[in-house]
Amino acid sequence: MSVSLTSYPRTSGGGGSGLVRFQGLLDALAAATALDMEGTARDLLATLRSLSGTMSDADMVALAIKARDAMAVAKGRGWVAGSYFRDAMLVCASHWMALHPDVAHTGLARRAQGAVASRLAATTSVALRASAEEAGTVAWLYQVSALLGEDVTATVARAPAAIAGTRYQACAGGGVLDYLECAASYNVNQFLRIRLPDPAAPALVIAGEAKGGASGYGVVKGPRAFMLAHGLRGTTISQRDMLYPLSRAAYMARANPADPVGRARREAGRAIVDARRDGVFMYLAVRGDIDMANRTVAGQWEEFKC
Amino acid sequence: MLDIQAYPLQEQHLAAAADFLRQSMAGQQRLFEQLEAAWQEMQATRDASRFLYVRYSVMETTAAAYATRDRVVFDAAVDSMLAHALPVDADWYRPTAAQLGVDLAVALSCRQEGRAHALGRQILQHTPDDGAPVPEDWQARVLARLFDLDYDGAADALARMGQAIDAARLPRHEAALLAAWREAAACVVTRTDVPLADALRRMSQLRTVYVEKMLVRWSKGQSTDLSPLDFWDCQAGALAVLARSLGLAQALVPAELPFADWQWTEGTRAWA
Repeated sequence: MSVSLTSYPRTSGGGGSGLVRFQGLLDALAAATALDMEGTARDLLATLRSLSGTMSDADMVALAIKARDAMAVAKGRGWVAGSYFRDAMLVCASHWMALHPDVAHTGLARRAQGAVASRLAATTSVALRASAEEAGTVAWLYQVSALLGEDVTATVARAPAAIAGTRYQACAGGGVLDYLECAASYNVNQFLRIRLPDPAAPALVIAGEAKGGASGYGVVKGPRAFMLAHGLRGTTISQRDMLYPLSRAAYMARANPADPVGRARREAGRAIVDARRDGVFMYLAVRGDIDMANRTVAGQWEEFKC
Repeated sequence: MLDIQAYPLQEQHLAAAADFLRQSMAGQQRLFEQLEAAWQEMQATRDASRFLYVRYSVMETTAAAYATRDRVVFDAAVDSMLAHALPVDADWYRPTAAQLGVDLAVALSCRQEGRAHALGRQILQHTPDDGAPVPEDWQARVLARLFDLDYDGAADALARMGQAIDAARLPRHEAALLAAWREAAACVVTRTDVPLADALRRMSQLRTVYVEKMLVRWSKGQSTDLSPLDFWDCQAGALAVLARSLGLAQALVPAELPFADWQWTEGTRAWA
């Protein structure tokens, strides 16, 4: 899906002057030439939203991605304080879902069918839970694809490979970890890195919690110093809280590379830490379940925060 | 150059410690800019969450720099942390006494008197029963009272700290450390010299045992609750500095107290 903004009519048809305004704001934000960068980012978001009813879903996805990238670069480089890229991603998701209304329309179809088959074959509570967890993972990947405007199973999370015979799965590109699925405690469930067009800008990082079926959100304790620094000594962190993935990252970032999965855990943990420091980290919690009537996986996001 | 030989770790743990600490120093070049950006963001959005997170990273870097005797990074990190204070006057965020207590311990350890005075005042503005005080809230009050030369107040806070330790059902290591700190603080309150040195040495031994145990786990690839902060006990350092200012420090031997080496932190760059 690639759209050239210059190919759009400027005075008639879908978008029109709104599109010209969008391009102007995008350019000003990307080049950091606006006097009021914060206001420019807000205007860009408002313009993106205003175009929503006038453009096709595919074009809106393309525009939302451009806006997201420009806003994320601006945030990561310290030009704006607000996390407007998150809002652009929500716009993107609504249009992407219109194009891909369920997992069957994505590269997740086979994995979803696997989860359904596991559920049908399950005779123990452990097997049932495993199939629900797989459904949660499928739903998470679907939701994150929507938010990013791309089927991640065809891009950054394409055909993840198991690490050293463990249940951890990873994808890397150019020696850099892009996607990690973790399989034990002291981890986030999912890690995804989105590189931005500006090589000087820090990459966007999304960490996730995939909930399957009716499983509840638990509470955890983080490292002692971490809890103290956040004024949480004596309390716990909910899995719905932004501090949850950050507390897990505190453990992951210190994994020993001598461990078979330590290198990937450490890289993901450090990427989360760095992205949070740069203000371009997001946490996405998704619940998925197997829809037995339609023999597929359905889900929805429950937390999406910066 | 890492110089963790100053620590009484067994030979087989030194390389692992160096490795572990080196990780925490990675990326520190950008860290201070990120703290400034997070500070600006907090002012604009009235949301302290990212700021607190980056500040925690700075604190860890400070500790890693202390442990590796990297004076340049240590000075820069202390400066950065104390220059970007916790938001105490905001109506949208109020730090706990325990959070302020960490800053007070850093300021005292590094002889930042002006900053320590301001923090002490802020800590004492917390009413003792704000929320559900944890042992570290009382620890902060003990330091603030001692710095204010209010020995009765410090003794009272120490008693409440003991109750809080009992009530908190902490992991054994944490309870032992806090109990040893409390004992050392009690010696400062009563101006008794030799038991103070013993208590500080005990804290150093507890830290050594814990760090070595965690390094073994870390070397095996197991999850650990080890942080650079385990290599710098600024709370003990603050006590040592206060004791020194009261003329109680004759018995303190820095070589035995690497986790709270009050002499090494003495040359910290002055903060305006």
